[in-house]
Amino acid sequence: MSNLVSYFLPQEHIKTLTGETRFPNASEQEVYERVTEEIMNTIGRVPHHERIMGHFPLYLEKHYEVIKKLFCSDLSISYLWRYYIAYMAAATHRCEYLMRLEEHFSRTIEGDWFEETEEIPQKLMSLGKANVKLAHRPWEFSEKDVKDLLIQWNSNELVLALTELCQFHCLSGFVFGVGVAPEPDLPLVNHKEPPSPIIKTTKSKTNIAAILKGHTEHSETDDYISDSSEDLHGYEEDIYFSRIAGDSLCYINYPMDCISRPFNASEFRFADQAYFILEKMVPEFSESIWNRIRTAIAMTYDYVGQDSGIETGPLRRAIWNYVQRVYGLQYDDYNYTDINRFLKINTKKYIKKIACFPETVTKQDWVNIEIDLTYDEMIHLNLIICEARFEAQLVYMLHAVQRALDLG
Amino acid sequence: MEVCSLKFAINSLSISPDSSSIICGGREILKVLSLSNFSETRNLRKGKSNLNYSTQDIAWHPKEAEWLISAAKNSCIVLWNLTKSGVGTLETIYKGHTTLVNRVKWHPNQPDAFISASHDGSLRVWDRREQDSVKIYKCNSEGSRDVSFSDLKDYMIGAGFDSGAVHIYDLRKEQAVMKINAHKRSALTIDWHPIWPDRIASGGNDKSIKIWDVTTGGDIYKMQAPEPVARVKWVPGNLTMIASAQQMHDNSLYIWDIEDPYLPARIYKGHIQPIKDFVFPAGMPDNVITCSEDCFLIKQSLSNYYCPKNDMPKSFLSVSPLNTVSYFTKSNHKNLLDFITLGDPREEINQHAQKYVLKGNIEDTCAINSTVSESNSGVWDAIGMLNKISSEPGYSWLHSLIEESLYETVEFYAEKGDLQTSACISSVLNLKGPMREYSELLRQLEMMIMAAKLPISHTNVEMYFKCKCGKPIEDGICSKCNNQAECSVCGGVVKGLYSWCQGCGHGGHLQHLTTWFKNKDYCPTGCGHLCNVRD
Repeated sequence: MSNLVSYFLPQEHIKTLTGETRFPNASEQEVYERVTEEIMNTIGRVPHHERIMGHFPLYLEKHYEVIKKLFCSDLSISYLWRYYIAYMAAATHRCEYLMRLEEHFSRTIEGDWFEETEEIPQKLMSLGKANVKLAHRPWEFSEKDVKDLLIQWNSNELVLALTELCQFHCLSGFVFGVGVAPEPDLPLVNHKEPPSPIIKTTKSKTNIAAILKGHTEHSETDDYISDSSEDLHGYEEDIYFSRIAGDSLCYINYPMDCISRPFNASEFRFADQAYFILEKMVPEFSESIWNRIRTAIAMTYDYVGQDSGIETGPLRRAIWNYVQRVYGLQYDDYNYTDINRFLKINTKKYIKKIACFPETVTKQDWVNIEIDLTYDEMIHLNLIICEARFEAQLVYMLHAVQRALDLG
Repeated sequence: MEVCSLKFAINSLSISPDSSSIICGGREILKVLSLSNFSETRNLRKGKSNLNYSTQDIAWHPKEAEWLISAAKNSCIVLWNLTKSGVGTLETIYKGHTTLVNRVKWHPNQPDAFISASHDGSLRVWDRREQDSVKIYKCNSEGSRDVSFSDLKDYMIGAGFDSGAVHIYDLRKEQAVMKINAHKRSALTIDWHPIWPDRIASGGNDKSIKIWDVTTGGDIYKMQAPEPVARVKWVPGNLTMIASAQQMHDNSLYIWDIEDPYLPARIYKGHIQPIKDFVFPAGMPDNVITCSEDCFLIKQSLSNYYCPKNDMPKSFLSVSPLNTVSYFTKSNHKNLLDFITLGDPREEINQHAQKYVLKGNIEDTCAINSTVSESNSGVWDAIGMLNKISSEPGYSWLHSLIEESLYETVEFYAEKGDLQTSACISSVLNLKGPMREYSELLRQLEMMIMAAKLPISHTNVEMYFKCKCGKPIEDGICSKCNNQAECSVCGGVVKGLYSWCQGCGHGGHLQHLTTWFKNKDYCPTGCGHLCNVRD
C-alpha cells in the first residue's frame, strides 16, 4: 500500500493488512485478521480510519460491530437515509473524508443518493438543527427540540437517527485527530489542503510515567478553574458545510452557571439511567454501543511512552473526565484537581480541540502535546477522547428524550 | 398509611437499634426523624454545606445508637457521632476509595467494623478507630454496587458487581470463595437470607431476581420483575417472601413469594417516583417504610396490599387449526379442561356443491335446490315464487322491483361470506355473481372436479407452456434456452393432445398421463404433488 494513510502518523508505522504477525499477542492478531477480512469482504476496502483504529484490534472489533449493525441490518430508517444522516453529521465538523466515504458507499452499495438538494425530504432536513446542537452545544438540546422533531419522526426512529448523528460527530473527531488522509479514489473537493507546517517542538515533554507512579511532587492547586484560554480564534462559517449540516453553530465554552445545567451528571449516569432509555428505544444495537464504551474505558496495555508496568488508570480517567467536563458533565466523586496533575496545558488544548473543533487540528498541535507518547498511544488517546465525547452526547440526548417522552 | 414530605429527594434509610428513630439521607438532606410520628428530632446538616453531607448510602450501627456511617457523594465515608452536637457530629472522614462509594454496612457483631463497596471495583473493610482500611478486596471486574455481611455467618461477605457477578468472600481469606455469574450487565443489589443459611438473593439490571445457594453457586429460584431491580430485601419473619424496589418507571414496592415466582404476591403503591430504599422496622412488625426521589417518606402496613393474582383471568380458550376448541376454567372449585371439535365446513360445501343444480328451468331448479340445504331452503323457495309471480301476466310492473331484490339477495350472500349460495343463485337466475370466486373457493378446498363443472366461460383465459428455465415458451421454442415443451412422463416434445394438472402445473402427453395415473396418484415430475385427486 503506497498511498498515504495519515498525515500525522508515519507511513511505515501503519500496520499492514496482510503479512506476518503484527501483534505480539496471538489473540489480538487473530481478532485483527478476522475483523479486517470481514470489513474487506463487506465493503470492498478497509477505510484509512479503520486501519488506524486497527492498531487496537479489540476496539476495532467492537466499533465495527456498531457500524455493521447500523449499516447492514434492517432498521426502521432506510439505508439511503442512514448514509445521508452520517453525511450530515460529518458535515458539522467539515469532515469531508467521511462525507465522501458515506456518499461513495451509498452510491455503490445502496445504489442511490440524493443528487439535488431539492430531492432531500423535509423530514430528513428537519434533523439539521438537532445535528448542530448535539455536535457543538449538546447541553442546549432540550426536550422542546425533541418534541418538535416528534411531530415528523416516530420516537424509535428519532433516537436511532440522533444516535447515528452523535456517532459520526465523534468519528469526525477521530479522523481529524489522527490526521487521516483521503482515500486515493475519493479525493476531497472542498477542503483546503493544510500547508505543510514547519514542525518545531516548543515545550519539553513531561515524563507522564513519573507522575503516574507518584514520584513527582506537585503543588495542590485550587479548585479547578474554567479554561477560557483555549478559545477559538477566527473561526468562520463555511456555507457549503453549513448547508449540508442543516444549520450553523459553533462551540462555546460551557457556561458554568447552574441555570443552563439541565441535570446533575451524577444523577443521570450513562450506565444506569441513560442506557435504560437507549435500550428501550434502539434495542438492536444498544448492547454493541455499551460493549464498545466499556472496551474504551478498560483498554490498556499498562505502558506509557517508554516505561511499562504502570497503572494508566488515573491518566485515562483524567482524559475521560476532562472531555466530559468540557461538555458540562461534572461528577461529584472525581477530584477534578487531578486533571491539572496529569494533563498539562497543551495536552488539554489538544484534547479540547479534538473533542470540540477537530477540524482545526494541525500537526503542530500533535507535536506540541507535551506528553511523551508513542504513536500508538496517540491513537489510544484519540479513541478515549472520542468515546468520552460520544458518551457525553448520548447522555444529553437521552435525557432530553426521556423528558420529552416522559419515561420516568 | 402515613406520608411525610421532606422537601428533598431521599435515597437511603436506616433505623436506630432501638427502633425509635429513622435517619433519612439524600443529596441535600440528612435528618433523624422519630418513627412514631415522623417528627424531626435532628438535622445533621450543619455548617458549610459540602459534599461530605450528601449521602449515597447510610447505615446506623446495629447495637450502639451513637454511631452512624454514611457513604458520601464525594467518594469518602463519614462517621457520625450522635452524642456530640453541632459541627462536631461529624467525627471522622475515611478516604480511601477513588470513586463513588455505593454501599456501607456495619458488621453484625464486631462493634467497630464496617465494609464499603465502591465504583472503583474494590471492597474495603474498616475499623472505625483506624484512618485507613484494614482490608481491601480488589476485583478487577467493574464497580461494586452492593456488599453485605451475612447475619448467620458473620465472616461471609457477599458483593454484587457491575459485570453482573456476585462474589462471596471470606473475611479470613484473601481471595473470593465463590464467583457467580448472576446477571447480564449489573448485579445492583444483594441480600443474605436472615434465617436460611447460605442463601443469598440478588437483583440486577436485567430485571431478574435470583436466589443462590452459595455452597454450590447454583440458582434455586428466579423471578422476573418488570424493570431493573434496584434493591432487594428479605421480609423479616417469613422464609419465602422477598421485597424488591425497581429502578425506573415503576414506583411500587413488590413482595414476591419465591415459591410462586411468576407474579408478585403483593404490590404496594403510593410513590410517584421510583423507590430508592425501604426498611422493615424491627420494633413495628407488619410495617414497611419506603423513601423515594419524590421527597416522600411513606409508612404502610404490610397487610394493605394489591394482589395482582386477583385480577388475572381464570378461564382460557384456544382454537387449533384442525377446528378443535379447547378451554380451561374453574367452575365450582373444579378445574375443567375440555375439547370441542367443530364441524368441518368443507364437508357441507362439498355436499351442497354436488347436489345444487346450476342451470335450467328456474322453477324446477329452485325446487330441487331448496331440498339441498336446510338453512337456505327458504331462499330458494322465495326465489322460485318470485320468479313465478314475475312471469304471470299482469304483474309486469313488479319486474324491476323483483329483479332488484334478487340482485340484492346475491350480494347479501356474497357479503356474508357464503359464496356458494350467492354464486348458485346468480347462476340459476343468469345474473352477474361471484362465480369466479366460487370456483376459486372450490379449488382451494381441492374440489377440482366440482370447480371444473361450473358454468364459467374460459374464453379469456390464456394458457402457455413454461420452459424449465422459467420463461414462457412462445411459438413453441423457449427464447432463452432453445427448449420445447416436454412431456413429464416420456420427456419428448409435446404437440397435439396434452393434459396438465391444475395444482402443480406439470403436464404431458394425454395418453402417457392416463397410463401413469391409472395406478399412481403423485406427479410424474417428482414435485411431490398429488395430482390424481379422487373425490
